[in-house]
Amino acid sequence: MRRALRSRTLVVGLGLTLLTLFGVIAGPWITPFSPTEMDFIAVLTPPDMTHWLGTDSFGRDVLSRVLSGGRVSLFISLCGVGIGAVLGVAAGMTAAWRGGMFEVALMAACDLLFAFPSFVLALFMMVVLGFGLHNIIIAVALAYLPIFARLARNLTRTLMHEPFVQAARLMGQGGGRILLREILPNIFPTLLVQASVGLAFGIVMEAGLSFLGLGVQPPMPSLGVILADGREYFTRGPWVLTMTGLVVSVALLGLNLLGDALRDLTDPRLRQAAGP
Amino acid sequence: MSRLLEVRNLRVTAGPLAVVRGIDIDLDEGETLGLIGESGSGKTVACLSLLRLLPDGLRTEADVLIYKDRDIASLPEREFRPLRGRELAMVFQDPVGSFNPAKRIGWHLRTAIARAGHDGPWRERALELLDGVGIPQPAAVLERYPHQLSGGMLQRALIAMIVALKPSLIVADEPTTNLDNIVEEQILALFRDLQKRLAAGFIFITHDIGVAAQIADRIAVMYAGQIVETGPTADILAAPRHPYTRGLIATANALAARAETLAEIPGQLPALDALPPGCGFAPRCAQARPACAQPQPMRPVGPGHAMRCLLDA
Amino acid sequence: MRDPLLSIEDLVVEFRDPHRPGGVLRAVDGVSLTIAPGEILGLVGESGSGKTTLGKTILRLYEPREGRLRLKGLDITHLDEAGLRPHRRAMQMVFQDPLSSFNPRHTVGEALAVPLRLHRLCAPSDLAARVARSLEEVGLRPDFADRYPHQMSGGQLQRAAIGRALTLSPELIVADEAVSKLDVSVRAQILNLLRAVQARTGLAMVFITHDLHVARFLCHRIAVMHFGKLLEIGPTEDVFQHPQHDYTRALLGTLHAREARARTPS
Repeated sequence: MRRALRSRTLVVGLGLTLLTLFGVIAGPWITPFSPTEMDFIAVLTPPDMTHWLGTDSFGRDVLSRVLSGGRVSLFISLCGVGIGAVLGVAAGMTAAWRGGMFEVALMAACDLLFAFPSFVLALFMMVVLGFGLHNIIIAVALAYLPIFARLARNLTRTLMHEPFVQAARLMGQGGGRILLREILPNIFPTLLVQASVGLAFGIVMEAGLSFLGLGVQPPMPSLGVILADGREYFTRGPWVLTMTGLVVSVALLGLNLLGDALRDLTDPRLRQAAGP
Repeated sequence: MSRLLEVRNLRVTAGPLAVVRGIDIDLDEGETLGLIGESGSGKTVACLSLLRLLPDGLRTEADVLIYKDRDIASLPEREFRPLRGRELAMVFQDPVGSFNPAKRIGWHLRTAIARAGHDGPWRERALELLDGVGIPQPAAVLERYPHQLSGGMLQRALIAMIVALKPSLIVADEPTTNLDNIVEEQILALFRDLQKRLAAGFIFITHDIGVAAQIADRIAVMYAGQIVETGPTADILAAPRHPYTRGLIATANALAARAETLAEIPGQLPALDALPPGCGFAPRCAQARPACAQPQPMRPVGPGHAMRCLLDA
Repeated sequence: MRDPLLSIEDLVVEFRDPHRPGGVLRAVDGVSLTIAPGEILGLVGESGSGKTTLGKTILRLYEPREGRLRLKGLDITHLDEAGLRPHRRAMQMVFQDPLSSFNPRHTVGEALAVPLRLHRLCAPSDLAARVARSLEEVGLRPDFADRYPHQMSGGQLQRAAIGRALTLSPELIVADEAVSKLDVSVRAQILNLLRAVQARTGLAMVFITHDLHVARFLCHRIAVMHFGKLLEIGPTEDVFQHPQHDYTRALLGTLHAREARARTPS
């Protein structure tokens, strides 16, 4: 029963995620409208057969903008989480392995960053770095770096005294080799789960920053920019905000379900319980 | 002595896999059965199924399941639950799991004493019980949490609770396996004391034939989900008949005799999904013959002594 | 007496006490002993006696707090990981739990090929044949090279672990409770294998065990540990027949009590 439920989580999560990916990649071919082309005859039309999600105050097709903005948001999230993950995992694994002052200093730095909610941290980064696509990626990466550093450090610490790692040391394998060959393959599934959940929060983070006007700048569409636009004339055209929000929710739901399912699949205890 | 437990053709299956493949158990009051087997032989699963403690997904079936003249196979869970703990007790290999980590030892004993229907102040009874199982400074131990006691001490505290409940059937699953030699000796001595004090039936599960030799009246040897040999302890130790039992005892004897090389049983235990059609031990048996590919029934080979093998038939 | 292969002088190993902040636990407390080439030394004691810590410190998997470790006269106590690497070959280990001593993501063949490749002990073209030979030496079919650890039984994996330790032709193997997690009917196979390997290669072995029967069967000399201290050490039969220390007598007492009761069941 639990297995069936879990696999349903996986199927739904994977389905929604693939649907989102397909939408944002194939966006230009799905809708006939340009995300930036204005049409002042069709300003704020409610959803109909032509404009499935309606149009905004400039007559731009909301669906086209959401798909195109989703691509920008996803790109930012992917780059940010990716950079944060690679640097954080490298730092965390090295810290666990080397120990000593390096580990103490890194973990103290992580604790300091953890003292702020990730979003506040990213907000602060944007104020320091200034607006723009690159900086928002850096902000997301910096928000995720401590999360991955701590996760990788803790996972590495639990594995580094395992007999198979000690055996590798006795065989004469060096530290870098052991981390890459022996430990990384074993902690990778857990990191992947964190990354898939992180991807969802990266999108939220971008949307939040852009919504506040600190992130992606109009006219380039991103989910945050569209939501910010929609808020201004919510009473006249509520579908812009609600429809965009709905699409974002579906995408986040998909990523989170996928993350949950992946975590269950990689949890050896659950795997064991499912066995005979 | 009266018959406490009668089990015929007990089977436990996990989907298509047969974990326990039809075992019979007879146990009298005051008798101790040593159930010997290796990991995966089904010895623990068989006993857990008797107490209805199996996880979901494992199905139990038996032709006969009689405890104290009552058919407990058909008993609804509501009526079975009061039996468990009060009449049927289980001691696990890891005593930690039998305690609530958030509660002190005193709370556990008080619960057990209350459940036993004891009137009057529980504290004195608890101190008496702890003292009776050789726990020093029992008053201090009552205030301790389970994680503050060593494995040996916890196992003692658990035995004290069992003494309080005075169950009629006690299943002990490798209760000394995780303990050091000296502590193991002490716990085994406690069990022998328990045998004298309670008129209960014991099923003592172990992989160590040396431990069974010290505590059991009768021994049943399990292999691949079946009992392959059963008989009085002295007979089994002195004259094992089944090739598997012989192998186990030969290894133990060779170790004790410091032989140049040990008598070894070749090969590995069969996997559950690849059990041979007939005798489970045949692939490892030096005396296997074509007829071993047929399922073997238990054959009597002496008074109270039977085995599942063609030899000497 | 021949020059010792390994000599241990006043070794102290400490760990941080998880229950007391700032406190330390002395796992090994001033142990001195020597291991001669080709001998099997049994390290016996109960859990918490420090025997496994001592075994792993010999291999420099743990750092000693005080004392000296000499491998064939060379002081290896404070060599760093890089300085240690050339000497690692000489000392290998067989662990208690064979499953966790293999990386679950690598096949057994890969695990055996790593040391060969790392130390350039054989040409890449001969690697598969060499791994197959290593497996056969410990009684496994060559096709086990393609299996993952979870596809093998405990006994088979422990054979592979012994094979892996032997690939580097070590002079010393530390075997930590190498049979205690194995099924009873498989233990004898592994004990016989260890004895045969030792006789064939002439390597020295430190055999850590709590099982006195096993120690007596396999070991030339016995060292008894209790609370981190070495209580006594001597030829196996001397220790078993004339134990010097009260604790050793108590430990051996359990053995005799068992044998006596097993002979006369109630």
